Amino acid sequence: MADVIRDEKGQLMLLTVFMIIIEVVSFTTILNSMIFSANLQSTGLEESKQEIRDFRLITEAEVIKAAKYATLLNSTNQTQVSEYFYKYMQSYNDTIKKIYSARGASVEVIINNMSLNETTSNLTVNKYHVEWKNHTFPEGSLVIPMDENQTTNQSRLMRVYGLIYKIVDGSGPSGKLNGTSIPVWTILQNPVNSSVTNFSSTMNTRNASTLLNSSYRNYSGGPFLIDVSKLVGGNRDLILNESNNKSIIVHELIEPFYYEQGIEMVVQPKIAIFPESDSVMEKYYADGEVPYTGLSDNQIQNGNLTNYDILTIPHEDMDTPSSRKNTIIAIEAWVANGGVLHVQCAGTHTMDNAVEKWAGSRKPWYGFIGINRSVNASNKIHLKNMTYIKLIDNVTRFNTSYSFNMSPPVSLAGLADPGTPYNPLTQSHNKSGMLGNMTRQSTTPAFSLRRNESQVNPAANILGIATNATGTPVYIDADITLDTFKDAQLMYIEAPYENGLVSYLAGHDQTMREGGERLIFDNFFAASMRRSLVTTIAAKNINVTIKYYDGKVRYTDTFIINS
Amino acid sequence: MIRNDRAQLYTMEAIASAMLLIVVVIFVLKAAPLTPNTASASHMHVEKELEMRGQDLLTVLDYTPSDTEPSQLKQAILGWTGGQFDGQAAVRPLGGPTNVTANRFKEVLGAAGIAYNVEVYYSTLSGAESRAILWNGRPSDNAVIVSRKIVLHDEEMEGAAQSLIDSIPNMDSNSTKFYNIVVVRMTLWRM
Repeated sequence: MADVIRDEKGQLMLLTVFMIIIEVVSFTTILNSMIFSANLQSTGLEESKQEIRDFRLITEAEVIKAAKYATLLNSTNQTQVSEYFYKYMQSYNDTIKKIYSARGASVEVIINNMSLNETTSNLTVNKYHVEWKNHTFPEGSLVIPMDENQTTNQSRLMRVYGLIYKIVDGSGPSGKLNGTSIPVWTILQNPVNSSVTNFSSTMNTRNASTLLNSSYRNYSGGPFLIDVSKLVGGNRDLILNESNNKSIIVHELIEPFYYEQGIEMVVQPKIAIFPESDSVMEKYYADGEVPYTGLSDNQIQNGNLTNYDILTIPHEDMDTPSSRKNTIIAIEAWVANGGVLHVQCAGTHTMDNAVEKWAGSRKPWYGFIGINRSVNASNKIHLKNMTYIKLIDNVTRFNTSYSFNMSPPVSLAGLADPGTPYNPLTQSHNKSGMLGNMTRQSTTPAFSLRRNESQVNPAANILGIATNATGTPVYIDADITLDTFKDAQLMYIEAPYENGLVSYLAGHDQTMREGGERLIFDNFFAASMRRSLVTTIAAKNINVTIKYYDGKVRYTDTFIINS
Repeated sequence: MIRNDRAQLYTMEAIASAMLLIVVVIFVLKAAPLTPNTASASHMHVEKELEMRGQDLLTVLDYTPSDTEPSQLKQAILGWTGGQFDGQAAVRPLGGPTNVTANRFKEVLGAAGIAYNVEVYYSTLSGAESRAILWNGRPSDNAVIVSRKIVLHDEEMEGAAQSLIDSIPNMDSNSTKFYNIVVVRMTLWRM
């Protein structure tokens, strides 16, 4: 060691070795740092990867959306579905290009090819038992008004139902027009006051028989339309002759008319009434000149209901006698399988009681819907002369919360929807949605939702409430238990039940109420839609190429989306 | 000098000392930032963490639970009336989806000492526009930006405020249900 201290050459060599070590350490450190930095996500290609990932994800989602929207056209025309799909993707492509170009990147979406899959099936029952469809009615299509363009005479309005029943019925001996079934459309409208902007629709029409009096007319209350393309042969004349015989006014479009919220009746519903002989129900169908069949307890218990689409029950006490148990079981099973049940007056709450007691509920709520009977307690509650019906206001069907009216006119117990959008059951012929008081009967028992929410069918829709003459809701304690809670008095309510539909309408005889009978006939559409065969054309196996370039990364990928 | 070993030795020692100093300085600079707000490569970890946190938040908020229910982020856009709000303040209308989403930002970012601006960028017929939803001021130099693209459709815009419809135009020229694409851009930085 002492030699090294004196040996300057030795010191020099040691120092050189030391410096080499420092250089190696420094170099390694710097190199390591560079490698670390180069591999950080924010460096190099990671940003491009993120953009490509985003681009691909939203493109995949939008291809599926475009296919879905194209399918919703409900068109049986493959070219129309295909064109819509490509137009949607073109709009998406144009916009996404702009978004990426602002970041200095270019993108492109190319639809290489796709196949169109056509399927036919029974209409899937939805919450409202109807399917909204848009449709363009060509010039020459027939319009059957259901407002003051027709008449305010109730009996004539009811005859319209008999006419459209015949038009749709292509085979029934009593309803045959010319052996050809012709679809009839109704355009759904909210039958409430004029603040609803699309309450009435304007069409350019003239009298179909005389071809005179052309003018732009406002139609409200859900008029019926028949597409001229379906009027082959002499069917147009047959319809006009039949309407003349019934004194029904029919107009004709003199320019095309497009409507978004229409429903099409392509199958005439088969109607049964219970009990087999009932003067009230028979009068409805007699007024409308619509064929029906009366069924007895035995016939229902023997399974005859399966031959029918609608069962109407008036003021029958369904809760007694106990021998009716098997009838109730059969009705409950038929509704669950897709039947449309319309019940009135004393049949309403007794039906709920009977279903709860005898059929056993398939659902946790009470009976079909979960209502309480409203009563006239001595000198306390008087529904006398207060039994007007106000059809409930609705929100638009496209709102994400469309099944709920966000501001119901009165507080409602239970979970039921306070309104339903553009339901055929809420078509009325007057602009206020107010149906008048009973003209020959002074008192009508209404009903209310059961206060215990778990006992109410959560999908129920309140269609009409009881009001006084000025439209003020009747909001009183009138349920059977008189539990000191005030409840909204309801006049018209519907609820899906499994695959079927149940509607309850208060009032003994709807012929005594201006516009009341119509609330029975609009069940046609709910029942008809269930039997309709629906052809769906859907885009499948969509072959897509996406391209991305940002100056650093060029990315191209082709993939298949099976929507 | 060339033959003078001692002189060479002194020179080499000087060089070695200088190199040692340089290495020490490099290590120190790599080890810690000089001040919390200094922008430098030494902040990469911090920036990366911010970026991941922001991107994860947007991803979670853009989760779509079902075909009929828009994501919370989309609902925030649809419920927005077009006004600019302080990022830590309540968004009007109170209780609306925009307010709910703004509270998520506040809980996840604001509570962790992270400042943020949330802006929307969208195409217009004449080019593009950008508007702030939540604004906390000008970001620092080391701020990071994360974004999420939201596609809007006709039926979703039906319930939107008129002021929003007036701001974000329908870019569909083909009468389909496509409406526009909005980029939700979030700028984050350490306070």
